[in-house]
Amino acid sequence: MQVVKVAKIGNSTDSLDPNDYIFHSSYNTFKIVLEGTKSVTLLASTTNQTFTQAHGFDTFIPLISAFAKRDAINQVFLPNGVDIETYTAGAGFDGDIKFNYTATDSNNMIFNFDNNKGTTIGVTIKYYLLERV
Amino acid sequence: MGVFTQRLSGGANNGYYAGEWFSDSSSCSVGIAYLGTVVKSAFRFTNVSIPQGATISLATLTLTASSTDTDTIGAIVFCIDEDNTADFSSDPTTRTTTTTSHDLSVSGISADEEKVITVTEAVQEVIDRVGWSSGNALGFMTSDDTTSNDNIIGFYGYSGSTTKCAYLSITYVGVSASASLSPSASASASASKSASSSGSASASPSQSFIEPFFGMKIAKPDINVLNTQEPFNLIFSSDYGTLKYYTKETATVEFDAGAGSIAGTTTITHDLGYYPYVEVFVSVHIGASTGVYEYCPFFGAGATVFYSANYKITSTTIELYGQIDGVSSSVWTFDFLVFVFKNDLGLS
Repeated sequence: MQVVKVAKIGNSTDSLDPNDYIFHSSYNTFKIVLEGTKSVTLLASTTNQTFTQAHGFDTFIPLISAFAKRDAINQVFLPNGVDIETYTAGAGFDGDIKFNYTATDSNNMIFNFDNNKGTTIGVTIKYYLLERV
Repeated sequence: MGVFTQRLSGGANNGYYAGEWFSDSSSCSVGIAYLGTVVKSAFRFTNVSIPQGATISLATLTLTASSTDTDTIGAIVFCIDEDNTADFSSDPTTRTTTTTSHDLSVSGISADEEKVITVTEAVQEVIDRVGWSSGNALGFMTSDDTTSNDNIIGFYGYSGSTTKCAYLSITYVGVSASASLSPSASASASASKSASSSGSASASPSQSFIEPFFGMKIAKPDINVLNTQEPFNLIFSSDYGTLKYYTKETATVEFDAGAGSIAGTTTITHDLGYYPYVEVFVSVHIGASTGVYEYCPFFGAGATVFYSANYKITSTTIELYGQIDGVSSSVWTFDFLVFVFKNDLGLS
């Protein structure tokens, strides 16, 4: 079988270890089939807020990876995590905004948040669709 | 790979039919009227700069509801099967449509909610027409033979909103050049690319320009690379971006619950100057490492303790956190594996 291999600097293309390669055609790659951003406004003092956006792929359900950032806050937070606002060794970390999960189904990308602040919160989501689930 | 996008560019590029044709309407309706009349809408996009025969990877038509409606429709969308469809100042509903149609089912919709219809195959039919050429106009038309009477959904027309009217997005791959690259002055057509050693090129003056495909695809075993565009059939395709692996870092957070700490944090510096794509895994243990890593952020629980790990990304650092909640007097260790990619999230 013919292969295309690109070794990392200092490694031989005869290596049998896939970790020695930048690219090896015997191993699949995550292809970014779609990436983009979605801006949402979280309602004040409301949990379990779901937002959807059509992904447009009708032949497969794509795998999704997503990141979120509040407007004017210079940090990015992840699904299944809070947007960390406070931290001490004695009290731990905490935040009022939680990115509960991201998922895909046959039609949509799905994003779910909690907002425990008493004001609406603007959030921008960056999503990557990486092939099919 | 190229991407063509366009929102409707004028009132004569849309309209709807409900027993008679209404061009340049503020709302384009789809469904079946009270007395059973099929209500059709049509949308036209101009200067569609896609070469004849290009492969359409994905085409979507986005319609935005002009009002909240609880009606249910089971409509479909065709392309108008013409080389360069004329505008809709007169009734276009008798024009020939593509063989392929796409589903436009709606079961209730909110005002300003977008309905994204994948129309890849219908668009491909038109782009494959021998008479199609880049810069021509492409039209869409709806039909409906399944909806119950008196169920109609309205979508913004151009005069209803120039920012919410129909929007077309087409991702395409240029076809192989049919004009051979040859040192001779003749202009032979060829189905395959061939390059001359001299580098000079001539193409038939009678042929319209066809965008050549330059790229690399590697198919999975038993897949013919020439017959697939599906990314899941490919090991690699230069039509799609990939994650650009930058570095793997390790970091440890350790704290002594017996001394009153329930959390710890540490920071990894990347200094990329933007928010990078990051993947993090963490192994939580008391005493010797277990070597078992879980995807982070995560929450776990033991007999008397909840524990969790989280992180945040800044434009220069990745700040890692571990904490427990419960009864413990142990020293807790969170071993993090951090994979940083150079893909810029583009968040600001």
